[in-house]
Amino acid sequence: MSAKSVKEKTTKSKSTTKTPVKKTATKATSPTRKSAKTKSSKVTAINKSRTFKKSIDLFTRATDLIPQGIYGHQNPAITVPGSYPYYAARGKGSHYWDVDGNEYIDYMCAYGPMVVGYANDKVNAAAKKAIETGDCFNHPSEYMFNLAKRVTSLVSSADWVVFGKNGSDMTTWATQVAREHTQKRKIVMVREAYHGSHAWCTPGHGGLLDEDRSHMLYFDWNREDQLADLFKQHGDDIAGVIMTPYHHPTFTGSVLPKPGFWKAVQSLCNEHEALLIIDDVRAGWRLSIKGSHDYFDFTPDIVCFCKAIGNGYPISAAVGRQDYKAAAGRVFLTGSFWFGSMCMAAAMATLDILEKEKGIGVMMKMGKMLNAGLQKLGEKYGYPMKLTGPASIPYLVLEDDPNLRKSQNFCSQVTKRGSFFHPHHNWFLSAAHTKKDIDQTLNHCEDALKAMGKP
Amino acid sequence: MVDQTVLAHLHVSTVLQNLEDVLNFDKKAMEIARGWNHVIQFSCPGGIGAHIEFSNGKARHIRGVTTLPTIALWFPTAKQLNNMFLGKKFSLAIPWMGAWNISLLKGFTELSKRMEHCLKPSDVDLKNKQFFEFHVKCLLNTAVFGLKAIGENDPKVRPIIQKSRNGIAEFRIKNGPAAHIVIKEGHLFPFKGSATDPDVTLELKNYKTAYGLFSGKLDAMALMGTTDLRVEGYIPIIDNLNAALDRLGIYLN
Repeated sequence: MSAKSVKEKTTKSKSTTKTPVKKTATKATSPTRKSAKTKSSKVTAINKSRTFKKSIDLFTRATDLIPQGIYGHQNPAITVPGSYPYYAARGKGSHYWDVDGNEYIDYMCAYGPMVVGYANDKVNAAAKKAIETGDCFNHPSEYMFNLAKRVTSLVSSADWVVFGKNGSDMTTWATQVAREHTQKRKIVMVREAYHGSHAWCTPGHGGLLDEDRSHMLYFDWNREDQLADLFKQHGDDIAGVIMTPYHHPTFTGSVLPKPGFWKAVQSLCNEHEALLIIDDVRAGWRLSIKGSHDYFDFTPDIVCFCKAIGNGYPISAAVGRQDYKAAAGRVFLTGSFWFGSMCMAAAMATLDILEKEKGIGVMMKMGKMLNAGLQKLGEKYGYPMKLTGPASIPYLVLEDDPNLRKSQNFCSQVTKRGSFFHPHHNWFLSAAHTKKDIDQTLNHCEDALKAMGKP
Repeated sequence: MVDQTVLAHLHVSTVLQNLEDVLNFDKKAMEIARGWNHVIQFSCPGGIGAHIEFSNGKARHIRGVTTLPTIALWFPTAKQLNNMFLGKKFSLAIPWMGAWNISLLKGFTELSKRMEHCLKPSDVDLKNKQFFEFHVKCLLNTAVFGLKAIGENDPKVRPIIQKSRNGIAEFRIKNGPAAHIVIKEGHLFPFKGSATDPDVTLELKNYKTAYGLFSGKLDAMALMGTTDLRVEGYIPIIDNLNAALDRLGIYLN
């Protein structure tokens, strides 16, 4: 059985048992997507007058005050600088506007957090209600308990939950819980995987000591034989294996788990009494409301969430199985703002929308529509392309593009026309995307391909 | 945390190569080396060495040692070699060959001063456009050649380069000089001039920008945002090399 067939199988089973697509599509056009429908008519197929003057001017001034002007994953250097906006002004639904007034149908969704639409009325109303009575207190509010109940009831194999603010908070803490529970030292991760910005996993080069990674071990995605070798060599000292539910590195296509991979990983972890930690920060709430591990049909020990859980309000979470609750309690976890009620209220509302409006089904459907359209256009204009990874979190790959120049050209051309395509990072669909958005984006793509000329 | 061995690699393989260009640009340097037909070699333990061939008023920098140099300067330690390059006292070289050629040694010392003048110019010198552009060209070459010394020898950077994809990265100043580096199986091979088919190109808007970047006054990521620095092609190669460039600044500053 191929990886493709696994994807088809899982997608099919989810859509029939959990997210009936037809029903979902009808329901999801309201109320999340109303604003997008009314605004989308303003997007012109080609807007050649698009400039980024204010973005670049603001950025230039910012470089005096802020290291790199904009640091981290939103630094413009990772796109095609000069052809992309740097600063956002406002957003609604699946659209946003930059500081120069350019409108975009967005396929990055704030790099994942936006999952039910920018400035979602329901989410904002819930957050507003929470802050009207105060947000940050000497104690958590009842929201914390309510959200804990909600998350543990939604996510499969979640017996307990903790909350933080960022993905890195959760992934780092999860590795500490693994060490505490097992009283072992080593953590295994997949090469080129991203688990956050902390010293043990940052892709950056600066400020690191050799000791920061002295207990890290690495293997390649889909190579359970390499993992088995690591267990053979270090089995009595491996505390945990941390992995994303599928492989989504930057600068290259996403790779789904091959058939039997997760079962093999799970089995190795069980055999050697190491915890299996899933970093579902990026994919979480876009594959299954029960967690991406449920989508791929395996059972981890701890799962870390962030990004989409609060539709942009800063909150992260880690859930775990009962066996590890005691160890979790022994690993100190806190932060000044981690108990604030606003984000927890926002998360409650976001999860409600995703569940009740079958949001993940919408994302999947829109992603598939986009993929089909792109493939068709790619063939027509001599630029064969496909979206890799799950339909709701696709990564664009153009054929015969070893140095990514075609991708850079295509994505920047499309972005200039009004659909934000990132050339080097996976994209994100949201429950706010509509068929009209996809159609309009495909028009932008066709215009971009025409402008690119023959390959 | 400067590793003396890495610094010694930098001195003999990176700083010294600038003599080639200095002899093409600086009239006083040309005068000093006029009529030379010599080979001067620098080395220290650990396989660190390079030699300069002087012929017809030109210089050619070659990595590694040769069998019959006119003068061979051997330093017992990398630190002593570095001290000589940094102009510090007590730098003890053992001229195990050609020690009798006092006039050549004296001439080379004068030539080194001209090179230093070009590499560490005064603010007044930099106001001269022609000199400024030459200085920036030297900085560009120093950066690209320094990538090899750092990328292959620095313990923090070596693992990053070793896992880098093979490819060619070109560094150029718009309407100006270029240099490129070939990455192959974890090894780096720097060259002056443009590459035929680079996998990734890093183009600086002008000499001023290049000066700011290579002298550590400007930030590469910020320059990319302002489009004063354009990177096109397979960016991860540049990202890996950037780890070496960051360290280069630490070593040479």
